[in-house]
Amino acid sequence: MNELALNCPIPDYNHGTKVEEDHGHGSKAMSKLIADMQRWYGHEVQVHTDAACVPLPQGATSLSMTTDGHILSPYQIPGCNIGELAIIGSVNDTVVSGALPYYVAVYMRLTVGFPLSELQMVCESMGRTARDIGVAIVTGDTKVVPQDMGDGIEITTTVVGAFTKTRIPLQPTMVQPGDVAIVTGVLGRHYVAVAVARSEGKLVSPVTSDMRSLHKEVAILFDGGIKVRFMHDLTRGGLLDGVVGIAEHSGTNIVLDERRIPHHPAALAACKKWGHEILACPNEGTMIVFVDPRQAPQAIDLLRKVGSPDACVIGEVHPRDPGSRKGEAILRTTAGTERTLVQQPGKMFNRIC
Amino acid sequence: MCQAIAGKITRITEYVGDRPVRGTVQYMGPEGIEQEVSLAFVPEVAEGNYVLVHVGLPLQIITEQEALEKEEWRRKISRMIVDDRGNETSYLRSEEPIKLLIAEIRRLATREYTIMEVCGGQTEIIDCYKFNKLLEGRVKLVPGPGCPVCVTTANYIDLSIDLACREQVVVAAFGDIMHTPGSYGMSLARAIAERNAKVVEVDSPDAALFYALRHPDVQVVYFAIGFETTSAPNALTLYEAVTKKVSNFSMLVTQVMVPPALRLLLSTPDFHVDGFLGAGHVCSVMGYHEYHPIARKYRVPIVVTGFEPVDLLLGVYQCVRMLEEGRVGVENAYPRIVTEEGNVEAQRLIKKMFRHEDCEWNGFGVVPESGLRIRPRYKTFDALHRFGVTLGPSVRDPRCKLTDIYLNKCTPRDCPEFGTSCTPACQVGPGMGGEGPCKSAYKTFILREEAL
Repeated sequence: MNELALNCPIPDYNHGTKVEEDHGHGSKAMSKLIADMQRWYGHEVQVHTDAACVPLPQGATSLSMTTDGHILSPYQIPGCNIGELAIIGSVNDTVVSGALPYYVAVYMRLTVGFPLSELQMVCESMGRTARDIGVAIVTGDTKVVPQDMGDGIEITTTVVGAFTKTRIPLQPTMVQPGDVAIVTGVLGRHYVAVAVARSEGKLVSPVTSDMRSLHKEVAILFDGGIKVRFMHDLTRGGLLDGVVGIAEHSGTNIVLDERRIPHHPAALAACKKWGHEILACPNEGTMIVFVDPRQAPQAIDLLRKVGSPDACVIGEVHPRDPGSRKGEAILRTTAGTERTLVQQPGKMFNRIC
Repeated sequence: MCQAIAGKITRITEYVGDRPVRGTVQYMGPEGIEQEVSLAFVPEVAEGNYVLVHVGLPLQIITEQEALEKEEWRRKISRMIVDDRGNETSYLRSEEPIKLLIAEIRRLATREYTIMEVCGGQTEIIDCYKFNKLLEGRVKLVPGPGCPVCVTTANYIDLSIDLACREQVVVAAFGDIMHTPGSYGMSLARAIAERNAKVVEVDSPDAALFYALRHPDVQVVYFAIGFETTSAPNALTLYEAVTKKVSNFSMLVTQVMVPPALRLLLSTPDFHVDGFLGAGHVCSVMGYHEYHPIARKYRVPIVVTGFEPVDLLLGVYQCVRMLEEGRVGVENAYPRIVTEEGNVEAQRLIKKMFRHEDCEWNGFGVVPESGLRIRPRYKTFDALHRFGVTLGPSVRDPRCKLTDIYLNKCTPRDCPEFGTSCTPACQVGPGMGGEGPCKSAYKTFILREEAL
């Protein structure tokens, strides 16, 4: 037996080019992959313990914790790859809640056959993005699944952030009648960029994903003394889902002006072509901000300084209808009539009619 | 019915002789989206022309109409439409012409008229913009049977599910028909989860054929629903499948036509409306010559109408004007897209591939000569023939009031199931799906009601 074992070839993990099943088992192959990934993230010190031990953020009054699973198919589209998205998605959830982001945990689910060179590209993007924002990837987990159980690469990230005396936790209940609603950019870019990428060349558009970290926007609003009532990044479900939820939880009516909502032309085209709801198109770097009406012009000036040139006011907050138990999101149409917005019943699908 | 978008032909990429056959079309300007399309139905097209595109196929060249307009305010609208065509939605949804048209209609109408819009796409715009409120006391707009998803009978959906559950069969369908319930409430979308049905969502018949070419090991059944508008692209795809002898592609066809439905409505006792808004995109293919005898026989005005808010109000305005002047007949309020004769090229191909047959409409029963089915000579591409299957009976939930809604006997909100047991997420009847009148009403009314 021993002799036979000695004569068997020893697998060589230095030469494979794809993720293999062996990478997923507690083994030499896995240790090497994890060490590689840490290097690709750009870590100077490699972590060898199961739990990360990190310093308490300075001035923290309480902590925030957000988690977000990311799938992107294909995993790289103009303006966005899944690595950048995985960091930015959770960071944006953190910063719009008011907190400062600090630490990131990464769970990566890889499918057998995913190219290691692509994994390197994704990890390097994650490291670069994290450094740009100023957060640290401190722990992680990697699993490998058979080819029929995954889509190449899926990444879940968890971000720990801190609230301080000035960065307080924001709640939708802080939204008050009289407040104005600002969006930080043109809507629908991520949605179209994904659709165009999935068309396998059948559709062509110069549009790129709007994916970007909103930490600078949030910081400049707080530092500039803007009384931010509430913020929400307009990801899944887009503006529609965002405002319907905020109206409901704040108990106010949010009235949006159809004429003032900035949509990207490519998003308009895609929605008209497929019959999708333009207001429900997802974004990955655009948020809605509710502020004191007197500070709206100043807030817009500040947002424009940090790379949100299209920031604009799109609506205002009114008291809810007398006798009504909950708030509503309302779209004031160009005809001067008002339409109550409701959530989409399910996913958006291609319509014939 | 019939989602369609205007686009500009930026390049012609392929000719056969002098005839352009393929080109690229750009939607919403250079920042928008570009797509390569077949130019089979617009052989006179030139680079720089604007076209109307339905499910990825240009159906008509958009033309300038300004010179034809007599009144100053209409010239203005028409000029703005022309100026802004690449971006046509922006002006056609803007405040100024909407307000102008509402005021004109209110000024013109001396009593309240009931006008039926035939198309579900128009119902959606009317509900979104609350035109019935703005025109209150002058015009009441009521929805007609113009959603291809809603009029598709349950047995076709049952059969599509049955096929999708078979070994080595994939059904290619539009998203809206995927969510419409068949008998006992089962939809294609639900069957994916509950019965392991294999379904792919497509945005054009062309995409279904493309899927078949890429997956030669499975039989692909394209679920071909639609009015005349969609029959044109369906005919082209069938023609290509026949020519290329694509042996793993077939079509489950239930296509319907508007004129027989209008005749049926108008000959129903107790049915009364003062006029009709004709479905503009159906007419982009078929023209409106078929409507003259209907208008004469039943003494109603019919106005061919478009889909943007301004288009729609223009249709209402012309209909009211005809009613006030006591005229019956057909007028065209969508001349930039629709001509009297329609798209002759498309009609020829539809006629070549499909024949008229009696067809059952959901909520109406059998409407004579109202269906377009595959001709016997192409029957190997008919899913019914290929799989040797027949349609079962349609079982619809008896609570559904869609028939009465189409006959203008009640509105969706009069139905006790509306918004309670029947919602877009859980449909009792098909009116709550696609662009059905119930879904349209739900989107605009239900939340406010709940809140009270």
